[in-house]
Amino acid sequence: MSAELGLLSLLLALGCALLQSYAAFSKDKNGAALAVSAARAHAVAVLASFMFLLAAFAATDFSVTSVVANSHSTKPMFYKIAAGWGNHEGSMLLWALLLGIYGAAFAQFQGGQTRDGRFAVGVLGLLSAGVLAFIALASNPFWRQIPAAVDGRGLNPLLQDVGLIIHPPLLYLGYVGFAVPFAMAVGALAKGTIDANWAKRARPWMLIAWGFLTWGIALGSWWAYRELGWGGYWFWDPVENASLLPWLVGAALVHSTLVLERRGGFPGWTVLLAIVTFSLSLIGTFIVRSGLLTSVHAFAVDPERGLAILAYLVVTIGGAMTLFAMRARDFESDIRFTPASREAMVLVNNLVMSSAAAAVFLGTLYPLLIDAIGAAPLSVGAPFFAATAVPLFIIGMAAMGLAPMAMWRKGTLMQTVGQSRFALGIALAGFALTMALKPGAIMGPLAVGASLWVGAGMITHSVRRRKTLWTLDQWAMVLGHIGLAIAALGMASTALFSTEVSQAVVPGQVVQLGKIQARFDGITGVTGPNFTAERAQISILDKTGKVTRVLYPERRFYPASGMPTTEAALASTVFGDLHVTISALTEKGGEKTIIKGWAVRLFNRPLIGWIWVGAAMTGFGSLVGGFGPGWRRRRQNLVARVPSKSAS
Amino acid sequence: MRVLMIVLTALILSGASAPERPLDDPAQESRALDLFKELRCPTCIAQSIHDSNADIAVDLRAIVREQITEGRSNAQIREFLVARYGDVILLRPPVNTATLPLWLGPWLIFLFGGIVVFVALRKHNTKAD
Repeated sequence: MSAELGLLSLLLALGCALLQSYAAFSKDKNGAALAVSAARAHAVAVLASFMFLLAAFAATDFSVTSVVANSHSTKPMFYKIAAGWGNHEGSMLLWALLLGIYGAAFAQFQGGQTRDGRFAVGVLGLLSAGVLAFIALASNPFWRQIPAAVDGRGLNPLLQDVGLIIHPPLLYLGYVGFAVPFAMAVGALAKGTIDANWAKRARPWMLIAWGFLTWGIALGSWWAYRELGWGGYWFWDPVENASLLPWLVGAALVHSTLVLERRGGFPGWTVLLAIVTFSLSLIGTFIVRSGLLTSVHAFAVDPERGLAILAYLVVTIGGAMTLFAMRARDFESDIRFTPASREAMVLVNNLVMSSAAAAVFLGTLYPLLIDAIGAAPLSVGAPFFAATAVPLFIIGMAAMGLAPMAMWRKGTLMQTVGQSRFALGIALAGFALTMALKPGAIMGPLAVGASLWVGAGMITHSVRRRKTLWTLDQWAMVLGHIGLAIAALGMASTALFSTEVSQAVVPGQVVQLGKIQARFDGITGVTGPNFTAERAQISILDKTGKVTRVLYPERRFYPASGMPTTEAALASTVFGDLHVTISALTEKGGEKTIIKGWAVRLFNRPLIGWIWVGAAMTGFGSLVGGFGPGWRRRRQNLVARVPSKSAS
Repeated sequence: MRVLMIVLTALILSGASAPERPLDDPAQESRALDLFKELRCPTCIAQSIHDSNADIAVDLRAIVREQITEGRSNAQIREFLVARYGDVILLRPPVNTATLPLWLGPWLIFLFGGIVVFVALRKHNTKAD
């Protein structure tokens, strides 16, 4: 039953979304109120639809095709339910759900107040209607099959991990969140104007989306680090890059909007960034989901879906861009600032973020382009991005460390650098020390110096303002930037000082990695809820040979999917991780495969945990900045209400 | 017995690998590890042979290690592999006419953007008027 109810709710949501935009675009004076109500109903209907889908997954209803394809009777209940959004159809519905919720929230708080806000509600309704129609027609998760299957085909066991259960919702909260500034930009282009007031209304939405996107990306990388078993955390694969693109342009957007809010500067550029950020979010979701990024040919496997996605992208992006081209000239601003002012620093940020995005975009799509024109295939991997995006980031961080010392509108470079003497000293010391520790490296020491420069700059800024009352915006900025410095330091340290060893072992043998000694004690077989595993016991020894820590890396096998996976074991401290995996050494003897022994792989990753701690801080800072204004307003309202009550 | 069967199936499916021995000379082994990271595993989507356990990645690691012990330079090893698999084996695409837009693109955009920013800074400078 729940599948039919789910589809019905989906169609209801589609109807509400269409009504939402009709009411918002109509000239009727009651239209605004109707649009807000429709937006609310639309969100509730998608939520119902999503809940019905989860119910079908919880009940393991093997007459529903998407349940058969993605679930299995032996799965633990938690993963059964989570499988509901761990697949193409379900994740599209999740996307639509979040768009519905964002749309309703925007309509509720800002939609009815202004003409351009009302137009934006209409745009959000159209965006939803398009996605809902796509789900109903080409990507229906409620499809039934008769007869029902006996059992499901499982889910990729790599995906059976808490990190990956919450990764897609967080990532989508980011992607979809950029729909709101996009719609507001379109609304302002069509009906209003782009000014400081627009920026004040739009910026919280951008910060919320960017904060969630940061968390989503960080969580995905943390998952890769723990599950893929290679000790790496970022592989520059097309899917990862697709999520990085809106993050980069989004970072440019939140900064240029700040200038618009404070000084009324860069209106046209900001609106363009808002459009591009959401366009990249759309491309990120849909192109990844269509399989285009893995290969041009995968796109043609399901041409109906591919064409529908393409049409949606062309209409959305093309429409907004056309509107922008028509109106961009109207938004010129003539503000004055010196080349060392806060505004100038934001320009450097925007330049760096856009160029880095271009590098990632080009690096991701170039192999496809080469493939499409039939030239000799080539690969673009980590070394390319390390040679393009990384130096750009270092330039960006140079400006980032200077920005909090810079004043709005005025100031000279000498003044600003003069205020950063402490940070400059720390950065140079860090650079020199790293050069001494790792002779011959240049980018790594520069990255260390840049991270310290940003971190120390933020500390200087905070110490200087310690006696003033901090606004939430200021907390957001300091948290976000210190987080980024911490993450960058973790990345630089991991890139510079990681060591690894892999060695065949017999029980009792000690593997040496620098000062670390790890003893392989042996293998035992264990049985999990829906897998079997060989679990190794690895004892970490101190200098005297005493056991300080025992680790249990596993090699799991999930019979439902026939896939073995590596479960790394981690010994984490503030200073870094010891990452341990095992693999079986085998030999083919005719038909049979014989286990000849085991190999242990040790990775020493200094400060790697700082990457995720820093990224979590950055995301949190962004969310503080995003939710802050609304929260403060509520509190002020409450405070304002109390005395009036006591008076009456 | 059943557990053993499952284990054996798992091993067959995982692409059973031959024992992998790191090189005895730590300097040579560290050269090998660096090379692994810039060579693509031909059957994987975006993984280097350092980050993959596919049969072909294991074989390629053995080949690279062997060539290093034979005293070949990194360039010679790369050349050997490109002759066998084509440029697609290199995660760092070679600089040639086909890849010029790729390598120059980001920097051209940075340069162009830099000029725009420079002009904007001059235009908006308070001291200019």
